[in-house]
Amino acid sequence: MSFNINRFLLLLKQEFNYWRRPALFLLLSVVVFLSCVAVFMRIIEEKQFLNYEFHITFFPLVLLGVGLVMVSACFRNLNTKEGRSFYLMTPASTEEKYLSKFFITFIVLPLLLIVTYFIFAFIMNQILMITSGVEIPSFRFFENDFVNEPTPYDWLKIFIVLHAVFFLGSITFRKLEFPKTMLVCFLILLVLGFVFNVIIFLFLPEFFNEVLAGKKPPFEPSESLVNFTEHTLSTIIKTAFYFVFPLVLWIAAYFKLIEKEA
Amino acid sequence: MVALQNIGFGYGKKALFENLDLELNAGSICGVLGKNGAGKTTLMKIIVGLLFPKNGTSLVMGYQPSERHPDFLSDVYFVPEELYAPKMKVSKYMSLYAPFYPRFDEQKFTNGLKEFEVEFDSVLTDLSYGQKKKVILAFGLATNCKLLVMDEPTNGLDIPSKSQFRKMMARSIEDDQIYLISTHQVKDLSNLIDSIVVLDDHEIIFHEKIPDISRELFFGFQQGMNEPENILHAERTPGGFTFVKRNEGEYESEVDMEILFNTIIKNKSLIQEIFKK
Repeated sequence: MSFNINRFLLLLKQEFNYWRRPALFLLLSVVVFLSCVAVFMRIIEEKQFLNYEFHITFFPLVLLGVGLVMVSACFRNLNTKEGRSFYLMTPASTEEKYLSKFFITFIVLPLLLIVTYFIFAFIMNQILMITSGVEIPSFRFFENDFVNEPTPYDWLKIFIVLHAVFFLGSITFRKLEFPKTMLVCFLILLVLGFVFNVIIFLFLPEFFNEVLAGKKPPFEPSESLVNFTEHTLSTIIKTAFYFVFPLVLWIAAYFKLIEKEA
Repeated sequence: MVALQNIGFGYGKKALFENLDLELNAGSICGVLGKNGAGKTTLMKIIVGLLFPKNGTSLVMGYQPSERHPDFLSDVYFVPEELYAPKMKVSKYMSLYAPFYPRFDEQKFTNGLKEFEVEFDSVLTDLSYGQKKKVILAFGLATNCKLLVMDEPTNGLDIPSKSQFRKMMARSIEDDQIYLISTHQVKDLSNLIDSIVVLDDHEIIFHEKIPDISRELFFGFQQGMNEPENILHAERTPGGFTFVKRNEGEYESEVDMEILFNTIIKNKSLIQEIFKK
């Protein structure tokens, strides 16, 4: 393991330069697309959408859609014949290369997307207000008007988890990293769902049959069980989902990178 | 400076090298010659650490290339046949990548570009293959790395640029450097290299210095239709034969790379016998 701050900064400079054009192009495309949608909604007078659903729909689309596509492409050099030699011969350690790409996609990219969205929402709000008097709610990061809908902050937490998944995918797959990672995630979820159902069916057949039939479960859980599932278990699952799971995947991505560089 | 011992390497189950040994010392320009598929690129990639041998030991400037230590990489520059050229200006490329090479000489780079007639402000992706190659070659020479490895460097270069490139290399090499060049176009290396490595049949069958070759072999031309006698190898050329024979007291002749290569391939054991002495 070796880490040199000067080499790391040089790699960051390279990464900034590499991403500058595609990021600008993607962000401009997104802003143009969202503006068109907003204007279109105004024309067809979808006030419901403009008033309440605009940020709920588009912020996750920008953060996860654009963000994860870019995360998926971050190790593309390593997957082409010419790029691979260039990447491997760059005088820096694996750790420096890994961390520079991690820093760009994990810190700079979401920050850039959030700031862009803030600016876009502000400008769009002004335009709509001046032209038609319709005001879309201002974009707030830690809250929204709906109790049951995730806030932008919640979406950022989900981005962090998915970053780990797509970061690993970008190292693992040689081509079409984004769709392949999506497909693998879908298949894993399908298998997990199936296994979970099989377990319930084998160990709690009555519960399984009643739930399938749309009836109430045959037994009422005790208060302590409810407390345990709603507090302790929920905290454990959340911690595992938001911290342990991505950490494990980032570590796996590092070892996968070492394997791929060999 | 470069020491490979008992190197074994193969793609899948097919062995390419078995017990390959190679030693190169600083201050030389070495040409690696071989037929298609002989393993020239593979050998170069093992030396720079892009491929790992299955067995044997390799030591380059005191480092194991397979470890790809950053200090090792900052003293090695590899010009592959298939170039990677990011979308940026040549000047930007220099500002981003030159700081990785502590001995980089900016003046040498800009002079190289001038000699190759490539604009410092041109965008890499807008350049032709040959022009990109010129940029990368000029950059490689300017890094002043101790080991500069070039795979088919003259591919894609026009005739004036090939000659320009030869001059630049001859001017650029320092006593503590090795330039290792592989090529199919052996004539491009004439009057430039000072040692030759020939790869054939999973091994290095010939590794000699040019003065030693001149001392042991005589390269001549005989007019007429009759093939010269007592020769190692002859090739028909317009008006006569170009031939190679043992140098038995004649003056030292200029080494003709192409005919030398063919002679070595066709008379492997005889040539090895001559140079053992």
